[in-house]
Amino acid sequence: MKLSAKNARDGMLLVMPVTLGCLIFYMLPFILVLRYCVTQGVGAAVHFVGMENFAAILQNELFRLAFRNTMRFLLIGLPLILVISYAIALLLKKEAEKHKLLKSVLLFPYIMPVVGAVLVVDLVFGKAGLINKVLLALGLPLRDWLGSPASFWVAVSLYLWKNTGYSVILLLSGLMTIPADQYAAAQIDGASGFAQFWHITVPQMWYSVFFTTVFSLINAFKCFREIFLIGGAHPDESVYMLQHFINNCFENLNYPKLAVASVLLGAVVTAAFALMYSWVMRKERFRG
Amino acid sequence: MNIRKLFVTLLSISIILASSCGCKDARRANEGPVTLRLLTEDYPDSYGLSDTNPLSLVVRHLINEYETAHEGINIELEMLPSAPEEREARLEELRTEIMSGGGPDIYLLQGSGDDTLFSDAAQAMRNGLFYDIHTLYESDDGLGKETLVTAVMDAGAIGDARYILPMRYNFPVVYTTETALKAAGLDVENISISVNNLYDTLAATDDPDWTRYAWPWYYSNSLCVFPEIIDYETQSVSLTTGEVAEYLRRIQALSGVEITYPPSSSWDTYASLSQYPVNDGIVEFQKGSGFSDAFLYVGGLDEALDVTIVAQALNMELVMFPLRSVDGSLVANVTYWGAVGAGCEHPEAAYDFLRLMLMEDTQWELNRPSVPEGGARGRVAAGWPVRAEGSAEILWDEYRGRISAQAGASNGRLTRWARQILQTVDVTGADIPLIDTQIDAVRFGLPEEDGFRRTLMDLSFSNPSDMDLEALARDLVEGLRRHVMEG
Repeated sequence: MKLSAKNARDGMLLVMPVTLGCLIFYMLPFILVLRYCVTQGVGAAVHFVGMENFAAILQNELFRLAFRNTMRFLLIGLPLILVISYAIALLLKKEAEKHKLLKSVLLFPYIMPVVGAVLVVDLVFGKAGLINKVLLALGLPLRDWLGSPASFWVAVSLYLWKNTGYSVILLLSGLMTIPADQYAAAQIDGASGFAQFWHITVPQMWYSVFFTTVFSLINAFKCFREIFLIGGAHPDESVYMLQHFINNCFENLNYPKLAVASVLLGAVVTAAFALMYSWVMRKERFRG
Repeated sequence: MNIRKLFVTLLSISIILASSCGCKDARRANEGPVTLRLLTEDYPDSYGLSDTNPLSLVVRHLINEYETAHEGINIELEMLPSAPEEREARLEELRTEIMSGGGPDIYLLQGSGDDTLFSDAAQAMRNGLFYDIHTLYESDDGLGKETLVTAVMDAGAIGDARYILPMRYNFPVVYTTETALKAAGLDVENISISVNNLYDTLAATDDPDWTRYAWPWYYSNSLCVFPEIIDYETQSVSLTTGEVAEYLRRIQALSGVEITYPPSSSWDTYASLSQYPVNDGIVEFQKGSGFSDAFLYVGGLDEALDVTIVAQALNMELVMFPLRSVDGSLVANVTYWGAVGAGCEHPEAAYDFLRLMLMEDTQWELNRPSVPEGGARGRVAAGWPVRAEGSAEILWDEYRGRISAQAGASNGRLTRWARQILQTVDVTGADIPLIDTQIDAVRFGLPEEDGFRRTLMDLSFSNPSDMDLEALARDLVEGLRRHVMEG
């Protein structure tokens, strides 16, 4: 057998386990979910309904509320975490080499168990929490932080607190790959700090930013666990997310609704990321 | 083969596999042994005196009979666990099974609501989770459908399709006495019109003995006072915040009547007719009889037999009437029902078993195991039988037989009370006219009922403002709205 054919065969064999795994545990379930989207009933009662489920869910007020809240959370949380993480990464760039432990410390909130995070939130934002105690001491009116529209900002704060460290690590890794002599050369040429950032750092960090955005999005969806433990299956309207809707539809055995909600969310997120990916690839073209 | 061809090949295989997943070909019984999975629960006895519901014992008995009569068909009985964590885990597993087209073949469940497999059986019907047994039911000439309560049976059908066989039902009933009504100058014609009339009239008496027992947390179904709640066709909530708030204000007016607690020696004068303990299956009346002039008890239809028995034994002129909703209509609840799972491969065999629950032996508890195994003899099990015609006499006969059987087991010893019952009581259909009452609407339980019942209980311990009442009403309506949109 020619070497190239042998290499190709060996390559196929090596990737086969992962490919099969993806097929069985991702592809197959996804196709099943698509099937649920266009059918009603289970077992012998299954029947094709076309786009009826999609039409029905788009008129479902609760779905619209959940979708709006989820998009609002992502549109506020993702840019905020990127900006804050980027800023921290830039500040820490020089120290990271000297203090190896720093990266581990940054990950502490990320690795904190969900229940621990919920306890912290309750200690700070609960009715008898730290913030209310301070307000009481100052003679200001108390607020129900976890049971009112303010809970949305509590959720955003929790997301930022838990995941900023992780995003900093990812961006820091990208920053460390930029050759130091480029900055040195720019400094010699009299470039300001901002000019160095804009013309050296930013163009070479797009892929890292994209990578960080993907993981930040995954972590944003994981925030549902804390929100669920704090607010239950039906929290305040401001933090009623698509995951709540999907989870409750599962409890009520309405699989078409949860399938359609998942597909619509997946479609929106995929479209957004496809656009971002193609834009980032255009920006990265200079690497060849 | 290059990567692209490999990917296309694997994708095609996965689509073929996916399209065959969840589809089961129906196998005929004659192709081999058939196993049907039956899911039910061991509901606690109505009095909480036994962990075993008589109907659970009856189901076991029927399974043995059925398997003996049908060689080659086995029925695997599964009882949902009652321990919360175990139960939640099992419910998750069952939901996943049902989602993938499997699940139990036969369901025998009590009502629906929070912490149950189907939080809303009516919604479950519409979501296609049960097999359409319309053809099997309509062609079943041996079922005696003419003696089943039509309004209750219709609750299990949607249009021409039938998904559920209701087996027991209940509605709230007001029990009082002629003497008490006359003494208070209350007109039964007036107070039986609707719950509003009842509450307004009782609140006007300013008498805690009249108002206390009308408090609605005794009701088996706290939402029965509202004629329309959910429109499943339009997926909307018919009940308004205003209607609920008005009802809560009436409760508050009832609760506002000042209570002065009598000395403990006269507590038994306030005992409701049903509140007697059971000793080894024989009814004993604790602390003797004796009622104050004011007497009212709001129970359910399922208590009608024991209330009638006690009233006759005490020579009281019992008055009973259904508690009607705010607009005067009578709303009943299905309290026990059966269905064939949509994933069942042998629906005919499953229906064959299910119909046994509607036969006279089961409906009139003729095959109920003897006490004490059969549970406390008081209310009929899990609601009134849907085979209501002729039920009162037969159930009374069964009750009388059990007292005598228990005496036999206790060396012939009968309590004074049991002797009194056997000597003085004879119940006929005319004594329980409620059985023939026309029912205007029949529902399955809703998960919001328990929460609403707790709200009503809290009203008696607090004095909320009008704004608080509006907020409580909004909470209920919002909960119902979420229930409809997520289910």
